[in-house]
Amino acid sequence: MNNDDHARAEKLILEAQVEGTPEADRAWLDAHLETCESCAGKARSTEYTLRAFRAVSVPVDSELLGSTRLRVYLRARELSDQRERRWGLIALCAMSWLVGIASAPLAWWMFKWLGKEAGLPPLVWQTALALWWMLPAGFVAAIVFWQRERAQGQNGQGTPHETYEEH
Amino acid sequence: MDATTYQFSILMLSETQELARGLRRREPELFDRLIEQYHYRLFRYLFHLTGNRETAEDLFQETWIRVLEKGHQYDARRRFETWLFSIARHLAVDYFRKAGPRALDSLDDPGLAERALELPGPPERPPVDLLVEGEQSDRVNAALEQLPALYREALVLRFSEDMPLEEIAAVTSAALSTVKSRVYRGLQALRDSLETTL
Repeated sequence: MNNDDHARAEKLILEAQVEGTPEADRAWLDAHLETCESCAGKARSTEYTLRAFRAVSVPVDSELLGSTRLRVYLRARELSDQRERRWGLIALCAMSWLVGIASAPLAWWMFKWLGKEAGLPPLVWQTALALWWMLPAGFVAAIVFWQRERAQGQNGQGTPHETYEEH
Repeated sequence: MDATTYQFSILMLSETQELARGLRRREPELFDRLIEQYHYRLFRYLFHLTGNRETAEDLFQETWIRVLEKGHQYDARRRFETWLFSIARHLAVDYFRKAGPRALDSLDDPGLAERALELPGPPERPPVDLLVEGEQSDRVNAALEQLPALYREALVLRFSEDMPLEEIAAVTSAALSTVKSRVYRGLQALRDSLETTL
């Protein structure tokens, strides 16, 4: 028996616990442990270590469960409210868009008439028309952005793009 | 794959698909059930990872909030606990980044060992058992305190959770060889440390 045998036995003792050993290695190890008290002691010690480690109990405070459930419930309600509000906003945007499309010829005619009455060059009243179209959308976008920022601030969320997909 | 294994995997898939649907819908009953079912294992993991009860409790709550918020990202082809533990781990990494300029990969800093594993005594049992198990637990906890967090994490996932090494690699976003090395070194270090106290 030489040092290589002891090193191999030590490796196999750990390997048996971590990922299992092939039959041939197992047989060699069993034979070695019968004749080597030092390695047999290592094997017993490894088994004891794992038994002791598995036996360590980590008690969970029952209040932690209750408060976690409550927090999850409240956050679920908050998310549900946010979703309802978002749907309301989407409906309003859709309606506004439809009204905008339907009223486009009228708005064009009105701005053209106003521009003509005021003696403005076409570029000016056309720019005014474009602004008149964009302002409501910009206003809504600002509200949505502000709400998102506020929600993230309140929940202390991390980066909004983070995902937990497995590799 | 034999017929029994195939049937079992189909059954598992339909269960996880149902779970994924419930998570997407944020069903309150499902969350109650999941918290009940996984609370001990999740807390034990976080406790061993952070080495601190209060931090583990905070991260425990945050993990379930994230499960609620990111439930739509759960992939039904994977086991729920793998996803759950990886969320918990991400939060722990974020926590340590905010707490100090070190990521989880550098948690093997000996400074972490200064934090005691604050475990209360074991539950009510006969006095002799209590004494023996209490002493044993104390010894194991003292030995665990000396280990780097990454080794403790690897040990709890492998030997308490009985996770295959590949799954541990998925949870920790580490290479399989790295995971193996952590488990081997952790086990060896824990054994050596316990041997010196016997």
